[in-house]
Amino acid sequence: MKANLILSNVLLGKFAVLTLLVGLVAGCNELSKDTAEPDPVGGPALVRVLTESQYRATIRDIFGEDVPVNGRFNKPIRSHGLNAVGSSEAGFSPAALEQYVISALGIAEHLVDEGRFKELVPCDLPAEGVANESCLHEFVAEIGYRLFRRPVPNEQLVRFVTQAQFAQHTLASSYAGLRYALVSMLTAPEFLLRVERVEPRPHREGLAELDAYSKAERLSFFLANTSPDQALLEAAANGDLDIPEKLSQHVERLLDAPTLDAAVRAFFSDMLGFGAFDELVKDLDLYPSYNTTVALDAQEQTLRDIVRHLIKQNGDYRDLFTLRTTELTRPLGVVYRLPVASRNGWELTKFQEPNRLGIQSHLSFLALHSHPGRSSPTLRGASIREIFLCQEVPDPPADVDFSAVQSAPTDTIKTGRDRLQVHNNEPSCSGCHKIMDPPGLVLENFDGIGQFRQTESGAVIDASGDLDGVTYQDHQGFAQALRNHREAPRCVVEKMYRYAIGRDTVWKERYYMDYLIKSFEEQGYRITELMRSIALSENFFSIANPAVAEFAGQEEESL
Amino acid sequence: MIPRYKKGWPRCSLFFGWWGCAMLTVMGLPNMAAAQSAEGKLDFVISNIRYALTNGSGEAGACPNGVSRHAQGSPNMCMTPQRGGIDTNMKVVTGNVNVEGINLDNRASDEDFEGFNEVQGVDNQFYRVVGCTPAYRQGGQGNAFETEMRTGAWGLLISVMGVDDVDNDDFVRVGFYANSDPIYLSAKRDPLPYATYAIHQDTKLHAETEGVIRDGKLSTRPIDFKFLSTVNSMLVHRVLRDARLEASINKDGTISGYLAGYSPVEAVYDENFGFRNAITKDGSLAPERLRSRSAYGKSLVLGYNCEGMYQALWNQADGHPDDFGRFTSISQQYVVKGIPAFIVDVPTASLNEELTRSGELK
Repeated sequence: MKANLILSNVLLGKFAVLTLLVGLVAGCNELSKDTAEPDPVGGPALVRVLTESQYRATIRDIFGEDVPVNGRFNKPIRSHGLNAVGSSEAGFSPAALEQYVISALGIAEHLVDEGRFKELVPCDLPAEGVANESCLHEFVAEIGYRLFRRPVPNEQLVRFVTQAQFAQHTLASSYAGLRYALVSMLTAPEFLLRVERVEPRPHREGLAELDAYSKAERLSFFLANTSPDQALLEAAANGDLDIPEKLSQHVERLLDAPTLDAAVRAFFSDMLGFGAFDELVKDLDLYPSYNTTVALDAQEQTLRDIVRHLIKQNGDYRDLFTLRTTELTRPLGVVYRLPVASRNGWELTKFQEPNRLGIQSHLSFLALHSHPGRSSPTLRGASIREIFLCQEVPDPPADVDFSAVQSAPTDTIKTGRDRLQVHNNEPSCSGCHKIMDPPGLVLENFDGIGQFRQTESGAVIDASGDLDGVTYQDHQGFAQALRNHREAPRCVVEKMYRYAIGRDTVWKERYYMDYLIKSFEEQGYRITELMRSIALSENFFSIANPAVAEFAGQEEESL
Repeated sequence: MIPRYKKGWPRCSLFFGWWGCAMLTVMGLPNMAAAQSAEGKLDFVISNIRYALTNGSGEAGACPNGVSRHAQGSPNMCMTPQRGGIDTNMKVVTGNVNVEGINLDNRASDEDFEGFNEVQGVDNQFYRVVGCTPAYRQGGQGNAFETEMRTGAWGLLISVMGVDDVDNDDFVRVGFYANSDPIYLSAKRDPLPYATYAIHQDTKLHAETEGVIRDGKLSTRPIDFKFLSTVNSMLVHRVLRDARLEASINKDGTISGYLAGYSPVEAVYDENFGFRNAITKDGSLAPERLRSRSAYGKSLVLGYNCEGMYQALWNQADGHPDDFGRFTSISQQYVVKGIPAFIVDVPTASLNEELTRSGELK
């Protein structure tokens, strides 16, 4: 069943198949009339865990850049190819909560030590002795407003103030009171979780939408990867986000802000699965030039290229697969074998090797999707399919025999292609490998960390193949085929929307997907245009009614 | 008494011409294959360097008169070695041994050594001086100055320019530059190829000459140059006059061979034993106590007396006679290996400019 679906995905793409079937059955073609946004569908309201980057950005924005975050974050859950989707499926373990407490204590300590509390507290604060209740009240209300991304409910306000009073009386220090109030807020679920709340939607029967503060939150994390700023919270309070013109002004403001870079970086970092670098190891005897600096710089290189091309230059998304211009540091120059004159930091340069082009030829992709001691056409091929084309590749069967692909080179089996040919004689393996291998074998010109090579075990590497009907002889041809693959833009649209709303798309949203994809195409595959289309669409804030009514009620009760 | 001849390229060239000398040097050497060439420029960072000495079996017969030793309780004469009396504890190589190196003057005289691989007339009087000092024999600390290069304290870059054919090229330019960047190492502390290095901004630490490549072996015309090394956090200049590089350009992209020339006696004493003119990172003379005690401490540990070493260097000098016929320099050879690198000429603030990840100087 799954295998059949895969083949369909490969040939036509998931939504194309589904749309075609629906069109035939229903006798109508919804795609032909989709110049306007299809009616919103919506999904359930979600509770999402703040990602590490969102947590850090929020602390930075509220308390300052130099405030340390010392705790370690849980490994994120990945779902539907994104940690953002997994964030709505994640929970907290006791160990994770401990780490949030460590972070909170560190932040509060830093603010006390640096005398920064005075800047945050809107009233006179005696260094010793106690602050009056109204001062504490004002502090909790103001900081809580930013941290919780909505006004702090009165009941909670009283609780935090009471805690602060108890602490400052016990420890005879107003700072101690503020510190404990702050730690309480920083470990509160309202801060650590993005709890989406809904309200009925006028003129849309059977549909609800996010309330104003949840809209501000979704908008801000999508377009800035941080908590809503003061202006956005005020807009939520005033009801401006319910007015299309004013909503548009805020979207434009966020799209013009420097924080857009962070948002785009966060999305692509998630899409490319850079979180896996934390667990990536390489055999230092085989790859002596690989180290943690290279691993960090490799991720940064790709993100810099993406931001430069998509944001600074407003480039075509598809050109990321053929991009030759890049930025390098000296440690990266060692692996890419390119000179980097700049002693510190980054230098704009171009790949000289004809077959090195596109982000799929970056170390960040090639090293991540390889084994510790060798490259892997299978891992790379599957990743090309899943990350850039949104085509699902199933896990290998439980009894798969890996001996052929793991064996040492022989007189007849020298290259990755040779090994896979032997391995693929197994009928249970050959089906999936037909899908995975071609885009993986073309990357065999790059070793287990991404260094270029022409031979393996003395044999010349054959990088030829075909990608869903388009043949190529080398990686240059493959890069062009990937760029022109119809699923490439469709995939980034789907992933961007899933990332924005924190869940997988539902069946009825296929028309909206087609609408977004068509808009993306008409706008020249500009990523900021796609983000604008999503942020301004009715679908973005919509919540499906049946789930919402029940969910909203439960949510209010639980909180 | 060991006969002396004026050594060096000038005498050779008198008979054969510059390129004739180079050709004589490379004739009969094994065929070496090509390395990578990009835009006609091959850049290398020296990854291994040591004095050319002898091997373990050669040492057995090198010192029939015994080995040098540090005289216990002897005064510290390292700053003023010329004032010391004759040091009878100093022994030099008098045995007939094979020694690493090349024939610098294309003559085979009595004082010359026979090299390995049937190379005749190896000029390596520095080995004759230090070869009977235990610390300069196999595994001794005297030949471990590379360690500080590996820590990034100093480095040497070589650039071969205008290469049309890495196997045979009648004319290439070869640059020698002090490295202003730390050598780039793996986690296992092995030098990594293809790193980028900036040449030192002090042009006195640059030198460029011409060369030929014959059967994959590079030979350069003689040139004077100096590079830096360190001792006890002080910088010392290593000076070579009429220096030549004789090195194979290997298939794996590396270069290996000899960097040889004549080092002025006073300079070779200062860079190795006396540190009289050692400087700090800012170029000022290092504190006298540091220089003096470093020199004396080294003589104590490595087993010689400064004045004895100074006397031996003058006694064994074999190059650049002055107007009175006194030789003022001594043949000295390094065994070097270079790995591929990228050499750039960009402004740098200091030898050990602080590196940060942010791109900003702290």
